[in-house]
Amino acid sequence: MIDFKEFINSTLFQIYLFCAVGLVFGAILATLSIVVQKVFKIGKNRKIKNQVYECGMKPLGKSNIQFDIKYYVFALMFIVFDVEFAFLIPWALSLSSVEAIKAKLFLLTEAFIFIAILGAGLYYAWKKKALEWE
Amino acid sequence: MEAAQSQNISESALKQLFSKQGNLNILQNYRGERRVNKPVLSETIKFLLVIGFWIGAAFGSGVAAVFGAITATSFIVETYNLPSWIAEFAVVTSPLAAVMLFVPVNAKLLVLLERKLLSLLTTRLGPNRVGPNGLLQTLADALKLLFKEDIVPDKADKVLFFLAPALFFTPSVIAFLPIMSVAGDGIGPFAKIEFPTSLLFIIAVSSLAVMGLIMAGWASNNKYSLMGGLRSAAQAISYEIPFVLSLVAFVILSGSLNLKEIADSQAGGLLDWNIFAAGSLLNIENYSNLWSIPLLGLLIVLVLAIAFLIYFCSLAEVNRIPFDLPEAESELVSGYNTEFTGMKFALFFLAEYTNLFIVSTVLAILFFGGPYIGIPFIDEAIRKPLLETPLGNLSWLPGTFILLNKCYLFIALAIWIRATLPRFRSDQLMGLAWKVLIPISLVVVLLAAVCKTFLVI
Repeated sequence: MIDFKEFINSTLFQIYLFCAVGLVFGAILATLSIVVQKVFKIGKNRKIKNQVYECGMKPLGKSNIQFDIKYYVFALMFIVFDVEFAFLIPWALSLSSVEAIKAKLFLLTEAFIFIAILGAGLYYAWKKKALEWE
Repeated sequence: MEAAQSQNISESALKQLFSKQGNLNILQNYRGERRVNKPVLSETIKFLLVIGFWIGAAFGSGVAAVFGAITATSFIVETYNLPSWIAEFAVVTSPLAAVMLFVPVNAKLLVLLERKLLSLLTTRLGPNRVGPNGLLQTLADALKLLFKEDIVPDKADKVLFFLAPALFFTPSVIAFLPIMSVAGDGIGPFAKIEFPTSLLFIIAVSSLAVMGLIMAGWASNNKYSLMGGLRSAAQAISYEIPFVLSLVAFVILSGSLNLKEIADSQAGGLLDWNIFAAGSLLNIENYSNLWSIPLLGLLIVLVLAIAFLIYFCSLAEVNRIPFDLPEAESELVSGYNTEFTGMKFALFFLAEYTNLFIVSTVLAILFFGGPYIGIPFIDEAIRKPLLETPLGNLSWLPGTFILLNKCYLFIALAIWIRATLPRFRSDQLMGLAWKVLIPISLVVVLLAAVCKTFLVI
């Protein structure tokens, strides 16, 4: 059983509260214009208005077009780098918490090896032309 | 012969024009009428008055929401004999009330600031019809947007089309929480907001906003919107890497992920600010070794580089010029928000400006002293009389006001950048992120680690 009073005094509750109210506020604002439209009866002749905007022409072909495979390659690269941050941030914090110079030097060499591997990966992607955007 | 003559004429005409009017004093109104010799100084003063009014309104609305929520609820509870937990609940939710009232007013201020400052920078008058000197322009804009027709395009994904603006807006509200822990100073209603890892929280939340953009692009069944959504996703993930890497470098130097701790560590005056190497200039006795002097120089340059990287990449993350490719109007009409009308469109606007506000506030907290003005005895003097008031401890008020103004300075810088720089090309943008910024930030992380190891910071 969760203690209700303790829960509403926690930061976690604040996070949930902000999420929920942000979504609800957004949804209310989005519905507001529909309500105003119904009440004031704005908007007629919707057949052409509802057409997708394409510089004044009738839309050509499908809208869900094929997009470049490059986006996928960059997303893959991003995943690789993003996972590394999960390792780098605890290391960054521990670097300032240790006192002894030996421990600091150990952490420093660790980081050098880690970032060298990361850099090698970046270099490989560069040479393989994964970073080119035509 | 003729051509040379015409050249002469145009040159002399130009000379005449400049000698008569000076080059900055030509201000035109929207009808094209010239106001010759309009003093720039008075325009600037008018601009400052208008913006000052709105800053006061934004600050006042936030503060009024906090105290209004608390006092109104406690009054109702007392008069109707309701259970006391309702009053406690009101105290807990009052920061949220402040944010919900502050966000729209702040967005109105920022839109007006952008339009006014851009017009000043390009020697125009800017909006000056609604209210004195355009004071109420954005209020009128918001009212206009409310009465706009709500159009859902054919074959659009109706659920996603409805959800996308709300989902884009939500992260910008959540990102206020860690900022509240600094602005509220942990006093009174803000005592419950404690974030040991607020920097991580901001990184996590700021990357959520992309989901809303992709959703909007996909749902509106429009090629341009889809392209805009995809571009914004590619851009956001590319610039997040150097952003987070430079934040890691910052965390190495400061040794904390807690925004409040970082802000409090800069309380001791201007030289304690992180942008001036966090007080390491003051502790000269730590640098008795010969090798520590070049390291100190390296540290000073490094801090500036980190600040620049963070600001630059965060501009890219909130899609500001020169990184506003997702909404490049010359290629993509208006990008992901092409098909949105009325309040849905307004939500996108609201969220964009709020994101810009949050990014600038984070920069102000990390490097520029946060809620402190930079001179210790002034900081103490403005907080002391507010420690005990009828409304309780109010010593967070001046700090919040100072933080707000620092933030608006950085927003003005972003607007200045918009007036100065053209837009990137798509391949240049990705190349800059992956081939320049990421290698630089990797090196910066290593150098920061070296400084932290061999220097006492």
